Amino acid sequence: MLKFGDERKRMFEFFKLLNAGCEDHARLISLSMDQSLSRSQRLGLKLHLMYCRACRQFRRDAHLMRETINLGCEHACEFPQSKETALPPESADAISASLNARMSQEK
Amino acid sequence: MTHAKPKTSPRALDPAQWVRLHGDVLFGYAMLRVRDREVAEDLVQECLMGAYEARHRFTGEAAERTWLVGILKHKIIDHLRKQSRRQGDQALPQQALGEAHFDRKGHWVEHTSAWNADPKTLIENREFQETLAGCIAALPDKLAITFILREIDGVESEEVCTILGITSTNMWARIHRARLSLRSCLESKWFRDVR
Repeated sequence: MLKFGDERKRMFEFFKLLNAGCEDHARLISLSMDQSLSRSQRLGLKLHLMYCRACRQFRRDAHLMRETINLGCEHACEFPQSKETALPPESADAISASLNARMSQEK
Repeated sequence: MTHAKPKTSPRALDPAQWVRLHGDVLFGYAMLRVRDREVAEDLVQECLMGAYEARHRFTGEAAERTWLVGILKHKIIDHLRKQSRRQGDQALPQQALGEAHFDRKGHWVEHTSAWNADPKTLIENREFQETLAGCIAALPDKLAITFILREIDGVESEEVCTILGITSTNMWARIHRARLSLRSCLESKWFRDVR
């Protein structure tokens, strides 16, 4: 049995959440990925997820995206590699020239 | 029985080859984060010149590219910090919210079916990486950079707020919106086709 005690504010938050739609719960799902929710938020979200398939799906997808990104970053420091992002040739030449000039000062 | 990794010879830097070997990757990395060709070119130049000056600090523990990307990351963060100081904390305009994911009653307007994907298989697929990068590039600027700093570059939340000059509420809102948009984008550009 949960004891809300004098935490009226939290109780109010909880009842507000019971009436909230998926938009608010999706926000809580995102938030829960980075910080711990209050007890009433946790309970409200848990109840909502019991009957809302779309929000359960969002939670799975959000976690899959994060897991994939984390693995990708471990895999390569430049993750995710974009398509068609070549350093423009004139810029490549200019940078090479600056580097060479600097290197020749050392010799 | 365990197999020890073969010992690799200590890595050495080869500045003469930097532009040829890493120029495109560094430029792509900067472009995804600053979204301006000229700024990205300048940052790559600053990164390589700075790396040359700091070459004695290269210990050889990381690969040359990883070391260079690390330097570029710092240059990008410095750039973003200066940019946000100039602009201040701007509230997101309505159009920056991207497409609507919910109806007026707060119900989902879109449904993705189960993705059933394995993260390992996904990241090894170059085409998926490019699709993901494309979806990030399609996000509104502020959503993209906030999401990248926190979720990809792993910068601590407080630090992200300082760099971008925003409140934590604003940061969480941006990350959430970016997450919603990325999911829609990946659904339409990848998962729907794959199934």
